[in-house]
Amino acid sequence: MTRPVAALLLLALAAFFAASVLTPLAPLLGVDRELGMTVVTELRLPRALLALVYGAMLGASGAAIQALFANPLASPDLTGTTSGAALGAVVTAYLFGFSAPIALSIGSVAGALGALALLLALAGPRAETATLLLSGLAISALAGALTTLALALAPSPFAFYDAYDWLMGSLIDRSLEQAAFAALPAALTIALLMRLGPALDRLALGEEVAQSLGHDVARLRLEVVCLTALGVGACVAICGAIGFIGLIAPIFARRVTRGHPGRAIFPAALIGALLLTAADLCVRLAPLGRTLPIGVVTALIGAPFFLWLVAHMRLRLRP
Amino acid sequence: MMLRASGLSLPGRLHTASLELRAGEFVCLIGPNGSGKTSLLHALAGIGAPTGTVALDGVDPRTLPPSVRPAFLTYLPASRDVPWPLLARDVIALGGGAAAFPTLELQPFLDRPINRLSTGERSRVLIARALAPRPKLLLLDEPTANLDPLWQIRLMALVREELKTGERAALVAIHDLDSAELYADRVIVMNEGRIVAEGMDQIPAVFGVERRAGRWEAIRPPADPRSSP
Repeated sequence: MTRPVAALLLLALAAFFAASVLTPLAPLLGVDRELGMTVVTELRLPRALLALVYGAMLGASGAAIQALFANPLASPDLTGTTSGAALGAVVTAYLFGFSAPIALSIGSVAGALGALALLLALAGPRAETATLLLSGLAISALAGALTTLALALAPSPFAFYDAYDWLMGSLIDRSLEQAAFAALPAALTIALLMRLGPALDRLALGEEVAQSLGHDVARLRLEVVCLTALGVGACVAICGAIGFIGLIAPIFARRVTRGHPGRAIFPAALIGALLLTAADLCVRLAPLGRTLPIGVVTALIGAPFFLWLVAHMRLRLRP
Repeated sequence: MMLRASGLSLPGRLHTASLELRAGEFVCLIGPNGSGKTSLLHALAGIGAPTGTVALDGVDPRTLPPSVRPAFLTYLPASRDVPWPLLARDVIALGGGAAAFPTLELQPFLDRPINRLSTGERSRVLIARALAPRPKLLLLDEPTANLDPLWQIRLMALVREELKTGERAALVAIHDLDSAELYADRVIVMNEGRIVAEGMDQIPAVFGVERRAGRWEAIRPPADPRSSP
């Protein structure tokens, strides 16, 4: 990625972040300054921070997973990782009754790890697109069904109602403390994933060549899987499952890295953060009179994009 | 002596192979399908989990970090697939070499995505990826596959030329027996995961072909599929 592109992305990100903290501005300056400050620190700042962090995490992990599976259609949601994380969090909260953020995070990371391990076992390390997507679909369906089952068996009769907003993905009404529970693991994971960038770039030459160049591919695979599970799990525990950012961001990111999949991790993080912040801003400012879950918005935009991508690949790959 | 490898094994594929290469030597590896040529190259390049010892000028190249490894050995796999649309120049650079490797006439392709090139052009780019770091040991698996006749000749001549300084060596797995005989200083014959012979004498026994009037022909003609019940 060239410096001007990075600067541009960072600038856009800063602008969106400022916009989501400050707009609408009038209520903050108007009635009560103290109330205005409270709105910013208690409501808008955690929300904007979560959009930034979760978007970046989805972008970075999407780029890493795509590089690992050598497949541009891999992403945390399409591989079932986010569904696994959601299942882990639901089981922890509603069946075991632990609702502290740290417990949710642990449950969710465990769920994500389980889903990725299952995917590797089912589809193999360098799967064909069809195998990868079908395995991901199966894992997502299984995790979704188990999540519903866990909610149905939960002692609390309100479990479904409680969990609905969260399951659809939501950044609303989280505290700064909760935001930190997502932000710290995510920042750490993104930094560590970026360190794997050069190895993932060499993996683009094929597994044999990467090994002959001195990269331990089995260890690399383990590192990417664990880091992705950790970062995505921590974010899902706080904000629920948000789809498609992890698919789209890396695809744009590789346009600025001349196709290098490993180098794309950092720009994918920037683009992911940008996309989710923008989506959240849309949700907040759209004149609908009520708030849509943000996961619905990313899916409404992301799903058609995904379909276009599948059609595009099918046309281009046709013999 | 430059390369000394002994007891190389990969479970089920390669059984205690030992070989030595002198500096400047061009050695061809021949053998029927599944005889362990690729496995031997893998074991030398540290692919999979090979056992046995390798010493290249006294160091085991398989223990070297990625930053210096390409100066010691590079490996060209038989597969010419690159899953990402990387530019040809970037593929060569990722391999640790200077992108403008002159002798393969890659100039027209350097700024094109590798998956848009023809199979032969892609092969040349991937060969350049292996040659460009100018490693001490070149391990090439079927380098002439997909190349047109002229490029097959030019490639083998180029590898010979690369070895002329007398500080480097090449081990080349190849199916074309005539090329092996023509270009190699030495020919190593493999069968069933083992090094079984050196030179061309064992070819009839191992391959079931023999040279008649300058052409390789099956010793027993293959059964006519129509005559079987």
